[in-house]
Amino acid sequence: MRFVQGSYGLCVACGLLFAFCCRSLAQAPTVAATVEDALHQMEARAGVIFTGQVVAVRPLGSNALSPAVVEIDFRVENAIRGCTAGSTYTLREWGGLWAADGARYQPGERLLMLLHAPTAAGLSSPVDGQDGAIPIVGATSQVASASSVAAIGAVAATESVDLRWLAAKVLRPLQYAPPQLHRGVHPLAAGGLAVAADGARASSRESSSSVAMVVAMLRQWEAADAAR
Amino acid sequence: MPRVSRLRGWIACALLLAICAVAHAGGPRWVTGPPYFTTAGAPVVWYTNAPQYFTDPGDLSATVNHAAAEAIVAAAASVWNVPSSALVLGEGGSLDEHVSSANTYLTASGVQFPADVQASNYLAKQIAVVYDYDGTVTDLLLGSGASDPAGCRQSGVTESVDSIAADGHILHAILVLNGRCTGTDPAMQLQLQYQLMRAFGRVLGLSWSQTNDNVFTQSPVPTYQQALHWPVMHPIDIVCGPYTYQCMAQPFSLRMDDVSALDTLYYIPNGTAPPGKVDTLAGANRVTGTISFPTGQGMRGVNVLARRLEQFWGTPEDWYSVSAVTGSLDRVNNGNPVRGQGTTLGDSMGRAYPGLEGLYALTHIDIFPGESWQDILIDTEPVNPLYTGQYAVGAYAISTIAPSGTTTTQESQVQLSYGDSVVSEQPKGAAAVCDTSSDGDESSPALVPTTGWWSGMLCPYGHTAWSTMTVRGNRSLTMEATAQDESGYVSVHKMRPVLGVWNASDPTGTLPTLGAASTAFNTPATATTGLTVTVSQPAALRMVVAEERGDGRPDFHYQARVLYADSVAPASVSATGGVVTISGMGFRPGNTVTVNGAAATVLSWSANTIVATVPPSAASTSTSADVTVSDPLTGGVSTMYGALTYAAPVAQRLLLVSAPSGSVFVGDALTPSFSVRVTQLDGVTPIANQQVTFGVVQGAARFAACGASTCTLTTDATGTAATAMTVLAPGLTLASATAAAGSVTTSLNAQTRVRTLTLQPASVYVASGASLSLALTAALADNSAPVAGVGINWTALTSGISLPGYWSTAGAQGSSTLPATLTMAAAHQASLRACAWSSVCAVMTATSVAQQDLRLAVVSGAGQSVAAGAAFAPVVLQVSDVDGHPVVGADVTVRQTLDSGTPCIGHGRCPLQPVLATAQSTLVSDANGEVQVVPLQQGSTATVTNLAASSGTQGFVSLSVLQTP
Repeated sequence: MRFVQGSYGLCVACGLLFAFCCRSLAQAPTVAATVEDALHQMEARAGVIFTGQVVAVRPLGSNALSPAVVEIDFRVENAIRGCTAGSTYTLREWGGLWAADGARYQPGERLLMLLHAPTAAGLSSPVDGQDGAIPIVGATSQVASASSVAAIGAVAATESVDLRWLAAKVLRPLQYAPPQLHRGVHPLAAGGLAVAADGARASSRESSSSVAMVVAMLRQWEAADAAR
Repeated sequence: MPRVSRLRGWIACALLLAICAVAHAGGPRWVTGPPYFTTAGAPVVWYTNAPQYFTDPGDLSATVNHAAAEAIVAAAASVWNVPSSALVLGEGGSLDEHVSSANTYLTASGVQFPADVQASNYLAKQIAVVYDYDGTVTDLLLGSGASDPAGCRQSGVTESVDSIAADGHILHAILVLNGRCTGTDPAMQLQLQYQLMRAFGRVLGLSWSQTNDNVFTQSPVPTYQQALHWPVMHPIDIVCGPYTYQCMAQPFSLRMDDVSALDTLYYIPNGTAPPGKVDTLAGANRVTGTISFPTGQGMRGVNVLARRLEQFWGTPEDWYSVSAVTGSLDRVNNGNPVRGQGTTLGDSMGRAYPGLEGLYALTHIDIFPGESWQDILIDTEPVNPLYTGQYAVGAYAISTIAPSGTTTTQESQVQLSYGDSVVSEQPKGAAAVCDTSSDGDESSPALVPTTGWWSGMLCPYGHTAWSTMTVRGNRSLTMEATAQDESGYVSVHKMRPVLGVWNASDPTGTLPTLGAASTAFNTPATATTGLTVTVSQPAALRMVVAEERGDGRPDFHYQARVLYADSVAPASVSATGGVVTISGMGFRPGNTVTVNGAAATVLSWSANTIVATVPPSAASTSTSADVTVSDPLTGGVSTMYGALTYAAPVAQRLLLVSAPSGSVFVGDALTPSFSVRVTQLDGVTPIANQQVTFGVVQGAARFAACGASTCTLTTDATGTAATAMTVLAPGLTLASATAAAGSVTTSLNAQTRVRTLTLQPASVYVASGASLSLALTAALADNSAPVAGVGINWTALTSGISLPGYWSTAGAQGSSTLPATLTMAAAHQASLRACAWSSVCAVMTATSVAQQDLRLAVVSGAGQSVAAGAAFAPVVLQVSDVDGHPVVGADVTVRQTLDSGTPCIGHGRCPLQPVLATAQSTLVSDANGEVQVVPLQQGSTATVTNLAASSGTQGFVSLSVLQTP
C-alpha cells in the first residue's frame, strides 16, 4: 500500500485520505441479492446488448492456431443497446481468449449477449467473461415419444434464457453441517448421489426466464439509463 | 460394503497400467491430439519443469506499489510448489518495462505487447505478469469498461496461455492484473491474490475440478471438513460477500485434490525425485481404472471420487479427497460429417482411443499421517451441468453427459506407500446394447421409413447414421433428431445431434452440400436439432445423423424424422378453395397447413396424410400456390412450392330455387326445402363447391342440414345447395341464403298448430234393445281448416258397438264416415274412439234409453187443414228420453182413423162420424229420433184424420188433420 508522504498540509492529507476512502468504497465489488440484480449489474457495465444467433466465426491473423483477433458475426434478433435489430453485429475478440481454449462460440448458437463497448481498437468481450454470453434454450418438456399425441400435449415451445450461471453470482450465506456418515449407492443417471446435479437442477428451474421477459426487463433498464 | 473390484484379469491390468504410465491421467486442461499436436493423449504441460514468471516493474496501482504487488504474485505462485510435483514455479525477475496502453496496442497481427512479453520470448520469459495500473490494458484486451472495479471478480486477473507447442508443451503465458481491483482495503489485495492463484493453476495446465461439490451447491449442506477439501481449482466461486476468497475455508492452501491434479501433470516417477522433491507416490497412493458400459465401451464424463478409510477404522472420511473425470485424455472433438474435423488447437484435443474413454486416474492420495497403509473408497457422480464452457470439468466442455446406470462404492484395500491400484466398474443398469445394424453408412444409406419417423442410437464412438430418400423438385423438407437417453426420455444431457443433407450423387467424404445443422439443439423443442433444406429438382438425398463431438455410446439414443410434404390432391381447386389431401411423411397431430401463408383448416392427420380445407384464393386470376406443412412443436416445415393451382374466380348469381313461405306451423318440417343455386351470370351454368350460408334474419328457425340456425353448405355439381327448415317460434320469420354472389330471403308467418278431430254424432241415445246401423263421421282440421289424407284409427271401447274396420283416411273434405252397428242392451252405454296424428282423439258414446223413458212429441205436421185434392204434409214425430235427447232406434206405433168430417149443427150431442178408413204402422226413429207419418187421406169430402202414436210405455201423442171439401 502506498502512503502519502512529504510536506503537504493537513488538509491535503485529509482530502487524499477521504479520496482513498471513497475510492475504496467505490471499488468494493457489489454483490447481487437476486438473479435480477446480477443481470442488472452486468447490464450496467455493458455497452452492447442484444439477443442473436451466431452466424459466422472468423479467426484473423497469420497464425490460425493462435489468431490475433477472432470476429464473430451475430444476426441480431432483439437489439437492446448499441446495435440494430435485424442487422449483423460483429464482435471482435482478442485472440488470446481463444488461443488456449478453442471455440468460444459455435455457428447456430443463440445467445443473449452483454458486451463491453468496443475500445477504440475495436476489441470487446462479454461482461464477466463468458457469463455475459448467456445461452438461449428451448423449453423444458417431458416428451417420451415425439410421434405420439401426448407429445403435442407437452408442447411448450417458448424459448428461455438460461440464467443458471448468473444465479451462481447471487449472494448466499455459508453454512456447515455436522460431520455425516457416507452413502454407498450412486445412481449415475437419475441423480440420487448427484449432489451437484441436483443442486443445478433446482437452480435451473429457478433461473430460467423467457426471452421475452428478459428482453423486456433489459429494455426497461436501458430506457431508465437513457433517461438519466 | 462391496469389496474391492480389482482388475478383471492380468491382461486388462496390463493395458490400464500401460496407458497410465504413458498418460499420467488426471484432469488436464489440455490433452494432445491431431491435427495440431504431434502426439496424442498426453496432458499438455510446461516445456520445462521450472517455468518462471516475470513481473511488471511498475506499480500495480496507486494503492499497491511494486513491492506489494510482488508479494501478492509471489504468494499466489508459491502455493503451486509442492514436494510431490516435479513443477517448480519460480520468480524469474522483471519484465523490461512497465506494460501499459502506452506500449501495448492492437495491430493487424494482434495485440502487440512489448517484445519481452511476447510469446516469441518464451525461452527467456515464460510467464509475463503485467501490472495494469489503470486498467487500460484490460480494457484493450476485453473491451471498454472491462476493468471497471464492479467486475473485479472476473476481470481482476486476465489469463492467456498464448503459445502451446505442437509437441504438447506450454511455452508462454500472460497474466494481466487489473490495478483497478486493488485499494486501501487489504481484502481487495487478498482477493486479487486468490484469483491470481487460481489463474496460475490454469496457466500450469490444470483443469477445473469437482470434489465435494456440495460445498458449491449447498445441497446437502456441507461439513466444514468438506469445505476444507473443496479444491482451489473449483470451477465457480461461492459468492458469500464482496470477496469470494472469504467464502472458502483456508483459501490459500492447495487441497489434496489440487496436488493430485498437479502431480498428474508433473509426475515424479518412483525413485526419481530430485533434491527438495519426493516421489509422487511416496507416502501416497494412486488409483486408476475404468468406468464402462456392459458393452465394454468406456463411459466418459463420470466424476470419480476417492475418500480414505484409515487403517483399523470402520468409518471412512465424510469428505472426498481427490477426484478425476473419466475420459479426460480422450478425444474432445472427433469431428463429424456435418462440420468436418477442425484444425484449431481446440479441435486438436485428445486421442480417439477406446481404452481412454472410461479411464480415470486419481494420482495422489496421501496416506494418513503416521500410518503405513489405508483403504480407499471409490464413488462416482455426474458432473454438475453448470460446469461447461469456461467452467468445464473434464472433456465434455460443450455440455455434460449424464452417466448411465448405478454404481456402488468400490474399495481398494490396504494401500501402502507407493500403492498403485486399479478399480474398475460397470454401473448396474447402464445401457447394455449397441445395435446399429439397421443404420446405413455413407456409401449405402438406409431408406427413410415410409412414415418418416424412426429411432436409433449412435454408438460406438464415432458412429454416424445415414439415410436416403427421394423427393420431388420444388420442395423443402425438415430433418429432425431429438436426443434421448437409454430409456427413451428426451434429454439434453446425452447426445448432441447434428444433421447434414447431400444429393445422393455427391461424392462421399464431402461436407453437406444441401444443408447442415452443425450446432445441436437449434429448435425450440427440447433436445431437438432441425435442418430444413430446399430442393429445386427431383432428387435422391443422402442424410446423416451424427454427434456434434463425433462421440457415440450406448446411451446416445435419438428419434428422428423427416417432415416432407410430397404432393397435394387434387392439384387444382376453385378460387374459393376446397378440400385437399396432402401426402408425405413425418406428419403428426397438431401439424398446421398454410397456403401462400393463409391458414387452412386441417381435418385429419396421419403420419403420411393430412386432409385440409384450403382457403379461398385472394388472387383475381388463376394462380399457383405454395402449400406448407408446419410443426409448431419443433418449427419444422415442408413446403411444396407452386403445387396447388387455384382457378380464376368467376362472376356468379344466386338464384332462389324454392323456399317455404306464407303461413306455416311451428315445428313442421316445411316444404318445399329452402334451395338456392349458384350459377354463372348466364343464370344457367352451375358453379359447384361454392359456400352458401343459410341463416335466420328474424325469428327462430332450424335448418335440417346441420341442425342449427346457421348452416354453411357447399353447392353440388348442379350448383345447388338446399336444406329443409323448421320454424321454432310463432310470428314473422325471415330466413336467408347468402353466398359470394349475393343473398335471397324468404318470409314466413308461423303459428302454433291446433289440430282437432270431431266425431258426428258425438253422442247418441238409443232405445234399449234396438239394433241399428249408425253412420259415424270423423272430421279433421288444422286450425279449423279441413285436413285430408290423414289416417284415422277407430277403436270400439265397449261392447254394443262394432265397426266394419279400424282404419280409414280422411277424404278431400277432411272427413271419413264409417257405419257403426249399435246393439244396445238395457241400461248400457257403449263408446267408440277415433284418433288421428296419434294423439288427437274423440270419443262417441251411445246411451241405452229404457222403454219407460221414451217420450214422443210432434215436431211438425200437426193441425193441418188442406182442401180436397191437396196432400197433407207428413207429420214428423220425435222420440226422446226424459231429458229431451232424441232417441234413435225406438219403435213408434202409429194408428190412424179417417173419419167423415160432416159438420155437427144444432144443439145436443153430435152423432158419431162414420169411419172411412183406418191404418196402423210401426216406424223406427232415425238418427234424429224422428219418424215421419203420412196422414190418411181420401175423397173430396170433408174428412178428419186422427193419428195416435206411441213409443215405449210412456211415449204417446195424438193429433188430427182436416180435409175440407
